[in-house]
Amino acid sequence: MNQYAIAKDLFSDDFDLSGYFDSLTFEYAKKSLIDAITAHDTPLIFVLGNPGCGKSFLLNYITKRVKTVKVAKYFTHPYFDEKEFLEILLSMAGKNIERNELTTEALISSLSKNFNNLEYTVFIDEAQLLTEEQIELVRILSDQKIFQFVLAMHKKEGQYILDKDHFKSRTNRVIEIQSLQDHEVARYIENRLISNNLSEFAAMFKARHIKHINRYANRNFRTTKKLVRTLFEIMNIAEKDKLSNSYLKINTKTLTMAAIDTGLLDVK
Amino acid sequence: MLNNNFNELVKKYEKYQNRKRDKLFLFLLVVIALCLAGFYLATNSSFIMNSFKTTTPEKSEVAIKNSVEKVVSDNETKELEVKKEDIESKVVPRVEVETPKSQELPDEIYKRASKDIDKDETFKLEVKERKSLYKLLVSDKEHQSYNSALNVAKFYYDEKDYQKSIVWAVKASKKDAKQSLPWILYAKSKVILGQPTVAKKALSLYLKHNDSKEARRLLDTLK
Repeated sequence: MNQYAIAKDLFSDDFDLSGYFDSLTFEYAKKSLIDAITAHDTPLIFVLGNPGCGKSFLLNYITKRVKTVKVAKYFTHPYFDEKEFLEILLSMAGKNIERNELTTEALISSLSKNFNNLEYTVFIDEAQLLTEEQIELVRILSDQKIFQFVLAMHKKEGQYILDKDHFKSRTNRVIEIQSLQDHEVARYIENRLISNNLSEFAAMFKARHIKHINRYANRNFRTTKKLVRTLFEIMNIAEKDKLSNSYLKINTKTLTMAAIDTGLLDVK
Repeated sequence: MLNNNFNELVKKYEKYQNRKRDKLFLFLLVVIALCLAGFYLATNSSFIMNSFKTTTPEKSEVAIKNSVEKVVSDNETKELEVKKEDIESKVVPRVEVETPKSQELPDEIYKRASKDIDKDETFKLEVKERKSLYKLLVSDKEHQSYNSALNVAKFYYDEKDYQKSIVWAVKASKKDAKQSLPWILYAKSKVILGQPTVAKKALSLYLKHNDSKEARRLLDTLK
């Protein structure tokens, strides 16, 4: 495995916590969320942000790394039916319940006996996909202070859900994760490469290259990772196939090719 | 792993670059075309404005006027014919009426001058002036006098042809060096042509040997 391939793998789109990057906006959102959860007085917390800004990473990070937060369950996708959802939550209390053994009302009643005072938190990612019925169930559980809910949603759709009457009148907290700042993109790439002994690659990135990356990726964390990963893949292929040296450098050509391949530039 | 084959990606890149270059070229072309159009309009704007002011409206006005007059006259003739028939068919009793002929005619008849007449007058005036220049030149040829040369110099000065006025003022002063008028005309013309120092020198020179209130006053104003 050559150096380019190693560099490429550093920018995979996963929730690997070793790739944690302390951007200003992320740190601010993280602190706000931990404070809101540990206060145990807000039944509903909304985490809003554009796709790829780090919402899922934040939920994953808190679930695995923050001991002060008691996470009952982390739903990465809200694909469940009402009863199944309640049964999963009740199983967190160590109860063995057969499928469809209890009615919805009985399940809620049982949950309220085991969980209360917003002590435990339920994380639901991609919450913009929740159906009306699921939203109503979340509202009931949070109203009765059985669970505290953290709903991570895309900013646009999330705002639509927030504007609904269910949530307008209720106590809730909205935390927004902003996009990366220009200089943070450069710091992220540099840190990631240097911490993996690839400082010669880190030195290849000049200010103009970062400007190009920001223009194409629009300071989105996920898109930036995707673009840099593709850039190193191009260099990797060029080295393997012994192509022109121009493909082994970070320049307008390789960056534009990476942007075309990731679909950020439309060439029909 | 790339989404595209590497060679395919290179082709797409080249296509993208070509398109970018074409866009830039098109943009430059549009900018140049706009600049040229702006320059053309700026240089020809006075010509266009004049043509709008003078020719077109007059023609259209004349055309409208003619057509209106024609319609009015046609209507009038028709009406007159109808009235004539009416009168012939009816017997009208004879009544003694004071006709305009029985009234005394005024000593003078005033007629409102129309625009066309004004135009004719100005045209005649120009011709008259041309004739007067011709006469002045003929007179100078015949008499070769101070007055005839001075008259020509005055004529050119009034016509704002200051170069020729200077030439004829010099001719007049040669005929009679003591006269102040040619020197004054010369000085005034020089001032208008932007040479006040020459004008001052000429007047000072004249006033060294002669005395003239007018020449002195002019010199004082130039100082």
